[in-house]
Amino acid sequence: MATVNNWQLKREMEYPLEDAKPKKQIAYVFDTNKCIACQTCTVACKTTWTSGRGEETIFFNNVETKPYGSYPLKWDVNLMKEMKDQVWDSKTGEYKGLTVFEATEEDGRIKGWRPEERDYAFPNIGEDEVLGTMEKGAFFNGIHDVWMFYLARICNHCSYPACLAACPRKAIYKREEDGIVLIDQSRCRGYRECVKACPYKKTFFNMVTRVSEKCIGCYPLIEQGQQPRCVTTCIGKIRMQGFLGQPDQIRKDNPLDMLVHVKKVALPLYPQFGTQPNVYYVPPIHVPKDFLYQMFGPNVDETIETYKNMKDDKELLAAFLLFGNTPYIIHSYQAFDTYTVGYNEKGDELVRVPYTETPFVRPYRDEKLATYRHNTP
Amino acid sequence: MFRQIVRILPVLLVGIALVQPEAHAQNSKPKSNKKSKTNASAAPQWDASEISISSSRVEGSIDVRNVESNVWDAATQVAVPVTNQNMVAPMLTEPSVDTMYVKSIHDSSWVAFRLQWADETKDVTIDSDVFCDQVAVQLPVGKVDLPSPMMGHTSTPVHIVHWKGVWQADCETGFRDIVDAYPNIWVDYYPTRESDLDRTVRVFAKDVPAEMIAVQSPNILPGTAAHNPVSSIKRKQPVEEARAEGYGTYTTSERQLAVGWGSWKNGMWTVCIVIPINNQDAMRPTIEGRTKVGFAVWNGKQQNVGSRKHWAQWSDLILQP
Repeated sequence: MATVNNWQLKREMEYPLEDAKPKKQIAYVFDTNKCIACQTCTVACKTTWTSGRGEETIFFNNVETKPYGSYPLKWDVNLMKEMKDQVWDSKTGEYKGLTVFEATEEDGRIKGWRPEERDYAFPNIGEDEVLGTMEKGAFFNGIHDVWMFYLARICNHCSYPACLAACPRKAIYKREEDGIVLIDQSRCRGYRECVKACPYKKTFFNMVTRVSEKCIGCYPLIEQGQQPRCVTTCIGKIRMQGFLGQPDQIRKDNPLDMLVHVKKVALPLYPQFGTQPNVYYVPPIHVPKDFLYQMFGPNVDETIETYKNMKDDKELLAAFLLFGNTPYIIHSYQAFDTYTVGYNEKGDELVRVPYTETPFVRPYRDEKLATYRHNTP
Repeated sequence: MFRQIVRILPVLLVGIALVQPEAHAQNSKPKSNKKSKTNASAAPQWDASEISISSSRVEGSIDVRNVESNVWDAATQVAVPVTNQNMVAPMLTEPSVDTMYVKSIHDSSWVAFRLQWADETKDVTIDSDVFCDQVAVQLPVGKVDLPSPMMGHTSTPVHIVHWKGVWQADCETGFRDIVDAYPNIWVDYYPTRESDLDRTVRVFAKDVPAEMIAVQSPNILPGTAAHNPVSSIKRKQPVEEARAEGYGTYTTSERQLAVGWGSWKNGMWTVCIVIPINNQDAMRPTIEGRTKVGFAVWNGKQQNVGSRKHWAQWSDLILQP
């Protein structure tokens, strides 16, 4: 065991391998408030990467309705039950519970559980199901009595991957150039130790090839400076992929650093697991807070407050407006008076987005077609 | 593209260095061959093990698939105790096998082992939470230092011949495809079924053209496209020959010569494994006179897999003249 620093937990923690930071770390921000669970991301990923035999139940990307949805079944609930107390220091914000590396199994292995075959049988269980009841005379006071929200999930390409640490054959590796975590398909022998260890259950066993597979971060696209399929196909423009700096190397013109480190408007999913995941979520704003503290850690209140005030924060607004507006990876951005501009690694302009779209009113009569435009019932 | 390995962690580097014995051997092959010949007549000076397995010499051929052949009558059965692997993580915490019954015969060219152990269930399939029964024979490579019985070490490699229940099922009943596991499955679209417009013909994974797997669509069967022996969809033997230089370094040998077959009856597995004795290949063990042999066994029902296994200390293996 080595001692590494997990900034999401504000403390050091035990990890089975030495710390080895990549040159760049792939990261994403997902705005849950904009997701409508259309599953376009899921389908885009599926048709691109997992349309083969044995991959029928493999979803590198899935969107589940919280609180009831989960794929594989109860992936988060099962682990949290085993991890017992997950408490944060209310003053310092430090995580006081144990991570999956510290709350080990009897045999000293990473705390985890291996789903059964049946757990993969319900990819969209709990879809659109709500929690809570509406009493007579109820009114909206900022938090919904009856609630649900959509949680889009991919591999977190964790800084301290549990799957990688669990593989006895070292068939899993984290790429030095971009921090993407991959399973070497020629080296894996299908022991399923990674399936058991990954707290997010994003490594999957392929029963036809008998080895495990996981999200590859669309690395062929990343290598060409483009964002992954699940990001660029998102019709709600809820996602942005980029590279996240370490907390001591923050670049304010990097939209990911701005959102995650500077404005702290996006939070990691279940940071208490300890893998330092790299998909950051803007929490849903109308969901009971206790549920959100459990899922995104103790900083939910400040995050939601910042998000709600985005219209008055041009730097923040400028970063958000770049979501889904270019297929290329934005390395830096600049907020101008009326628009925001995203640049690639070389500094070339990739996209220019106005803060307010110019209204366009179509004339009642279309002179070209010599006809009147009107709504047809 | 799935085979790219980027070396980032020092510990990973060590892992990669350990597991490329073929590449290493190609460079040092002439030298190793020479050494092998020089030492050919010298018996290893290893201390005697508690258990000794005498391999009787037999005439005629050994029919590996007839595990109950009377050719085995001449051999003396030896009970070899096995224990759960609890030295290195991932460990096997709950053992379910305590003894293997071993017989050995040879015909000067091949040495055969017949391994028996009690197992209430026959487990020969694999799924996300389903594991198969397996057994392995381990032999030292080289004659100077005795390798660790736990898969050898960097300078003292071992040779492993590994029989897997699921591989034998592949040989017996054909590769188990998704439609074999789930007869009522319906999938809207497989890229490999594009021409199958009427959707009445089932195209199995083994029917996917090789060129499609290798060149056009490595993401259709990624493991197979990466030439992973585990993912082979056209299997002919239930055994795999491999080399190891320590934990986690099991690497399939370039040359696959050993054969094997197993049979489960009345709560007992009987598996025969037949290995060439000497082939002038420094990468492989030379089995002559007195050497060592080790065993491992996996109970699929108990989710034994990888290092979650039962293993035996080295036994002496004496080839009778």
